[in-house]
Amino acid sequence: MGVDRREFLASVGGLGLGLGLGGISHWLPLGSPEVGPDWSPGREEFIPSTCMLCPAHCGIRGRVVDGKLVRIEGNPLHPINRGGLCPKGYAGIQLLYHPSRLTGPIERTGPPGSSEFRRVSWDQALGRVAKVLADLRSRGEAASVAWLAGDVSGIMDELLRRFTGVYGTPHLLREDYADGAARVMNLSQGIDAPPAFDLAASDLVLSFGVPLSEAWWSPPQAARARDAAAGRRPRWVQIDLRHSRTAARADQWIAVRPGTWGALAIGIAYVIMKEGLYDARAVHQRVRGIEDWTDESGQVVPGFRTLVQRHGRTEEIAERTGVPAATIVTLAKAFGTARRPVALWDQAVSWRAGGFADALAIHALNVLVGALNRPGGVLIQPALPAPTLEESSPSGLRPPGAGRDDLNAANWAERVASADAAPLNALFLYYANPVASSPVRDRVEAALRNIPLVVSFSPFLDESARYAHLVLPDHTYLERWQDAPAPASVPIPVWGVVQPIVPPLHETRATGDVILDLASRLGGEVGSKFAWSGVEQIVRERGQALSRAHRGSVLVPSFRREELRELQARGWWLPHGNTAEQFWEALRESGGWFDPYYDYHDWSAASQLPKGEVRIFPVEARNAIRAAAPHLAEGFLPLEKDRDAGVGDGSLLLVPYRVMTLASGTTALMPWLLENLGVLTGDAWETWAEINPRTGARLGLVDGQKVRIESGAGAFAARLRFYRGAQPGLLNVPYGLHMEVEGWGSARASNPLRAIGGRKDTVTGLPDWYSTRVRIVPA
Amino acid sequence: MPRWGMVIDLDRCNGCQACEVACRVENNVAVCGPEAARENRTISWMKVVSEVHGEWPDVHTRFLPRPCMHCDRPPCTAVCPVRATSIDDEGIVGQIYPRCIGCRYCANACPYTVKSFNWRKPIYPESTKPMLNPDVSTRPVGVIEKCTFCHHRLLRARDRARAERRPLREEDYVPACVEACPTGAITFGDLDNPDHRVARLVRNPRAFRLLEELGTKPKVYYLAEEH
Amino acid sequence: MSDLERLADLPQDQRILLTPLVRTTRWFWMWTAVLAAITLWGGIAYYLQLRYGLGVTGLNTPEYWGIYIICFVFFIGISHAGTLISAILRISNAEWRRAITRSAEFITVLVIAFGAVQPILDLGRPDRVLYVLLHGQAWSPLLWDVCSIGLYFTASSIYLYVPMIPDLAVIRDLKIRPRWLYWFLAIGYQDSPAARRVLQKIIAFLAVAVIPIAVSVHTVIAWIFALTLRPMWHSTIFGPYFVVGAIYSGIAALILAMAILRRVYRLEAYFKDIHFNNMGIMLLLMSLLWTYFTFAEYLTAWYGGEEAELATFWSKLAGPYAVPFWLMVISCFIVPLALMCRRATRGVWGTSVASAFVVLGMWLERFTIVVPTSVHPRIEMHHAGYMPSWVEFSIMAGTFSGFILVYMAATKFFPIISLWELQEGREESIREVSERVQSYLPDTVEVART
Ligand SMILES: Nc1nc2c(c(=O)[nH]1)N[C@H]1C(S)=C(S)[C@@H](COP(=O)(O)OP(=O)(O)OC[C@H]3O[C@@H](n4cnc5c(=O)[nH]c(N)nc54)[C@H](O)[C@@H]3O)O[C@H]1N2
Ligand SMILES: Nc1nc2c(c(=O)[nH]1)N[C@H]1C(S)=C(S)[C@@H](COP(=O)(O)OP(=O)(O)OC[C@H]3O[C@@H](n4cnc5c(=O)[nH]c(N)nc54)[C@H](O)[C@@H]3O)O[C@H]1N2
Ligand code: SF4
Ligand code: SF4
Ligand code: SF4
Ligand code: SF4
Ligand code: SF4
Ligand SMILES: [Mo]
Repeated sequence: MGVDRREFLASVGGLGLGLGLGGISHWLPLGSPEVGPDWSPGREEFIPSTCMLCPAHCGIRGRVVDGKLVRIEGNPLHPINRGGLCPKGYAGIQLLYHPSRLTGPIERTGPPGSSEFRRVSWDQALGRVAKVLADLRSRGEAASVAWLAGDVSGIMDELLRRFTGVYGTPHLLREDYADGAARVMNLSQGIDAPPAFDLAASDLVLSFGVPLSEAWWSPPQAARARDAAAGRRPRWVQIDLRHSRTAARADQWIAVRPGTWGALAIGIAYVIMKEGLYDARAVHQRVRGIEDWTDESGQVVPGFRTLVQRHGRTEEIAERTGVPAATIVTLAKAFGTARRPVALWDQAVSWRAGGFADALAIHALNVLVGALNRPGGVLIQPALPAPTLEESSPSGLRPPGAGRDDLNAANWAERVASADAAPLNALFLYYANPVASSPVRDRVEAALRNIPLVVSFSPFLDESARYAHLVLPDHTYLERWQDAPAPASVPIPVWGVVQPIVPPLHETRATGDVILDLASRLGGEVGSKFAWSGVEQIVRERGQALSRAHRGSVLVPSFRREELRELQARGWWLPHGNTAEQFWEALRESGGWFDPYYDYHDWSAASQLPKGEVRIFPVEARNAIRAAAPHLAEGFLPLEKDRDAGVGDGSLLLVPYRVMTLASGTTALMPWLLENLGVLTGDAWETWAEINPRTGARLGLVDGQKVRIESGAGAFAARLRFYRGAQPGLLNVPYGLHMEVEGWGSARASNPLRAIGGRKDTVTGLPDWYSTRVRIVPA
Repeated sequence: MPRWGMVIDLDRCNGCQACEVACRVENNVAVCGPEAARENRTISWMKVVSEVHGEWPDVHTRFLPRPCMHCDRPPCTAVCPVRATSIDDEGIVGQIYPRCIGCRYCANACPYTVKSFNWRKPIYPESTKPMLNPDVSTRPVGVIEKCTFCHHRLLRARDRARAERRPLREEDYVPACVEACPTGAITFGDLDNPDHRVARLVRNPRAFRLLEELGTKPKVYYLAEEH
Repeated sequence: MSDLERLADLPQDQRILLTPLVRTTRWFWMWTAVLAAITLWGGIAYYLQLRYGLGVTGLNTPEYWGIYIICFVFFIGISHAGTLISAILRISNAEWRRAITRSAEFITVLVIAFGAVQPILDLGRPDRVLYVLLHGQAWSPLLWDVCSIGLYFTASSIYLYVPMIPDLAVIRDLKIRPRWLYWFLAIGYQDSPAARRVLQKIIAFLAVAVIPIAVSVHTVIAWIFALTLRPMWHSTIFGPYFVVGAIYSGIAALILAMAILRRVYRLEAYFKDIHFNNMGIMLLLMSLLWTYFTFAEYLTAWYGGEEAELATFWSKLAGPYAVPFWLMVISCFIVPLALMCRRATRGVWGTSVASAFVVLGMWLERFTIVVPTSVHPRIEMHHAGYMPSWVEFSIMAGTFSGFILVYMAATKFFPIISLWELQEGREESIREVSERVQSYLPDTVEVART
């Protein structure tokens, strides 16, 4: 018995002691947590450059420790993003170190579309390309060579133009997916550039569906415009089809029915005109087309006032747009009485049949309130005060006139795929992945099969590269030289320099350098026009040229920006060193160049038309619309009731949209972004489709279900998500997940554009992405 | 002794998620992948949560960036059986990964659901290893991790200040998410130091804390939306 | 002479009760094989979990705890069958206890062991489990739990072992194999009135000591939940609620065990109808108590109307967890009440059926406590949910079968009914009880004369 009692006591005691010791163990000097053996404090440096993941071109800084890039952060000196970045900018580092990067040039050994490639040397690869190019040129078939380029700007753009021009092909196909705003500017003001919006100085921003906080041309420009630290807080009104992220945090959001942007703008103009809230002085001085006039043929042409009175009556507009009449009136009064109001639009408006008329109507609001060329209004980004390649060393060669078959980015696939058209003998894909991003994938694939030499410059074996005969991988933007002008939406010129933050990780080559190399291999006339040692030299020369502009400055801290503006207003500038070389060094170390001064007195920036006039809803535009789309009333307003219905017989209207976490293509390769793709619905790693819960329930669908979404043009798969912010009857689908390469956590993505197809707006030739009817089939 | 805290202005936050990704980069947060996303196992030290209310068209949304609240009375540290998580003198609630036994009691005790567990072995593909931040250790499978207020940045800032023989300044210690926010919605500093902006901001009438009624005394404050 | 033959001449109790120790049927081996296979399967599942981490389970954020913790609470609850019930019966001198204490105590000891491994199965880093002792942090309820379960296990083991010593001595003296085992376990005990007296004293002491320990065990487990600020966990009645639930499930488990033992080892003479009837009454009582607590708990959550509480509340009553919830109500309230409130259904079958329901229902009760609260954190998340994976189910099946296996093995080595206590009952209790009853009756009073 005693044994047991002892055992019992001993174990109780032991346990107690153990626990007691345990309880105080944190007071005992225990070993510190393990530190990896490879840890070292490291040598740290910060190298400025520019983010190239989307057109915004934000200033970045790489934190490099012992030669390795360990973080990308915003460059605080950059006047647009001022130290902030969007999530993509931070994740960019995952692109650099992505396990699936191509490590050198490869040549396809398998059938087109397969992933069977073998490594070749740069010399072999370039030799092969140069030979084909030389042969074609000598046979007089230079025009059968085409380049398809995605998002290109600055020096790369100039290089491509020059190369194609000197080589002798008109086929530089630009897949730039413009929003057509340049055409609006051209017709109303005679200016061949897209508008810039001075968001930061505006006090009322009226956005017609522009996803300012999600995509747009420069999300950081929009974000910083509300920077309360700068003591500003413009009022934002977001008009949208869906409760978007932008709508969620706007000061006011107004839900509108699809296809009624223009109608709403007309409704607002009606109130403004009726109440006399427009800028009478500006309108009187500059604007043509307000009142009715008689044209050469003696016909009375209704002026803007008449049109608005005829079609803009508040009750009718309220009924058409779904926006309550009181809201329209209040909004119009606010817009008419604000000091610096501005109205914005982009693809959301223009990429739709009838979108051009809508865009004109929206811009008419800017014209009415005198928002042109004034702080907080619509400006035009001044050109960079440095000569272009053509200006500094003329190639002397005019690009030949229109090429065969009038190929362009929109029709090439169709033309080349159908055997009857004149064939292309070589196609170069630069920053373009049409197999994945084009709505007509099958056509693109067929076209690529038809071309004897397809060369891709993608750093990854993307969908289109798998059809290429050769892939000559580019450096990523973190390893190469380039320049990065700010997008046109920014009212001041900003020239970001892109410089290697780390030396190239692989045997890749910057495509600009490859072009120079190809030119010298072609030799003769072509070679002599490309005498630069590399893109680096071109970038440096341009930077040095800026020192002679006697304007602007290398990037400076925020407190000096105001100072600089003041100086410039008096005709001074900041020199930064005595020589061009010193200036260049200062520029490189700051990350770029900018010029904060905008000359509001120079009206030629607002209008190039005779007498500086501004045409409101210009007659050429009306004629163009009437010719191409006779169903629009007075070449002006979509009035048939069923026009909202869209194309096809499905019960839902498809609304593709972009999420902040994805820019075109390549960003889908950065897993960090995919981990929380859609902040509003909490979806990740896959394509989802948002539907209003009531619509969903009516159709007998369940939240979270896998579905197929079909239209006449095609179909795609998605996970259905009930979302209160979806307009009843609409189906919102994020796009941008189209690109996939094997390797690192592939997304389960599908491309909603497959259901949209290649339809175009007949007036502008812009894509028509917002009028597709779809139906949902449970998968 | 400073008491580090954060103020997030919900009026300015537009849910861009830059803070989320910047935190991932800074703290070597592993990629969990699509499987994990479907299973709710993604690791996020900072997570922007959206709260959507109302019915079409009267829908309202608020974005709530949610790091660890670094509670002054943290319910998570009390329950840890091995003291793998604890609050330090400056109010930062830290984790000791090599000691954590992975019981997830702290995760359950946290009313804010900010703790992430390594359900699977985190994968860092070979080619991505050079980009790991050398200041932050990676985590093994089976342990809890969460926002540390970028504590390593405090250590570095303090070292630098000491080397330069000057006191630590407000702008020396800035966590990655604060630095990243493009709308300037996040402010960070010493709540007890009247010179720091956070100390002023928490007296703003818009200031509130999450689940204040629980008495956990979070050191992350929010400023309510103005509309 | 074989062991079996040697038993033939013994008195009835010893003959019948020791037979399982020496004779093993084919059926037994078959069951052993089946259960061993399931246990092995569970072992393989656990190996996978060790190898690939808890990712192989269905657990997630915020569903941090699932099957393992449910089983933990469940098993530890069942453990209240033995020690606690037997101690109460002993202290209250309930004479009908004599046949059932041993089987009950066995359940306790074995089930605690299986319960105690559950949290270890649940650990992300089982390799670091000893850190709990090394770096123990005394404020953690988990540490309290380690203490109380450790203590409970130790105490219950002793409480099982000490009263078994006289029987072990008998077996040793009968030279039943394996002789070394019984020789060792009997620790040289020689029956004598003096030895018995010491024994009785120790048992009496243990019986008293074990009750607070048992109560503390389940209270502390309840505190693991109640001391967090989670809706429908953060509740003061959780301690007693868990204890009541534990005893409830313990009784049910014991009834089931008795019914099975009775059938398998032909113990009809020992586990009599009256035993089931009495246990049935206790089941009824606990069912009412449990229902009362449950009602109080849910009423408080609902009436208060706090948003976070309501989210959890409605998910149980009318949401995704309605099926387990209402199944629980049926199993723990309606069925036992209906069957146990009538004498006619308080027989072997009636109580067994009711107990089966209660055991299932109490597992579901733990499920409805752990899961709905977990998936409803105060800050709502998109798309939270929990579906246990096959690994968890396999490990759960493995632990259940492992427990039954070990219990079966125990019946093969130890008499499942206490020999000496029965004997004592026959020899002394009848006299004692009549004396006791006598002592309850009014004394004869001399009539006062006026
Ligand atoms: N985050 C991010 N930023 C980007 C990019 C990116 O991919 N991601 N890409 C960059 C590039 S290349 C471009 S071209 C721009 C494009 O940027 P945006 O023009 O800004 O294009 P989307 O983001 O597609 O915005 C489409 C919007 O159109 C709305 N929509 C508007 N009108 C209609 C209509 O009449 N009918 C229907 N059905 N829907 C309508 C939808 O609600 C949706 O919000 O963004 C640039 N910036
Ligand atoms: N599904 C879907 N389709 C879309 C869109 C969408 O968001 N989703 N967006 C539409 C719009 S607005 C546009 S602008 C187009 C864009 O369509 P594309 O112009 O085809 O652009 P991406 O699809 O982004 O593909 C860009 C390609 O460039 C390669 N690339 C990446 N980095 C580099 C580099 O540094 N150098 C070189 N040489 N190549 C590089 C990538 O591998 C990728 O294959 O797509 C349109 N179509
Ligand atoms: S907005 Fe565009 S340029 Fe700026 S950081 Fe994001 S992806 Fe890069
Ligand atoms: S927020 Fe959660 S994890 Fe952070 S200190 Fe508070 S309780 Fe702990
Ligand atoms: S999971 Fe780790 S940190 Fe959390 S309570 Fe358990 S041991 Fe402590
Ligand atoms: S403070 Fe640091 S660790 Fe915490 S969320 Fe921000 S970046 Fe992440
Ligand atoms: S970075 Fe700033 S604005 Fe963007 S989600 Fe985070 S807190 Fe909000
Ligand atoms: Mo684009």
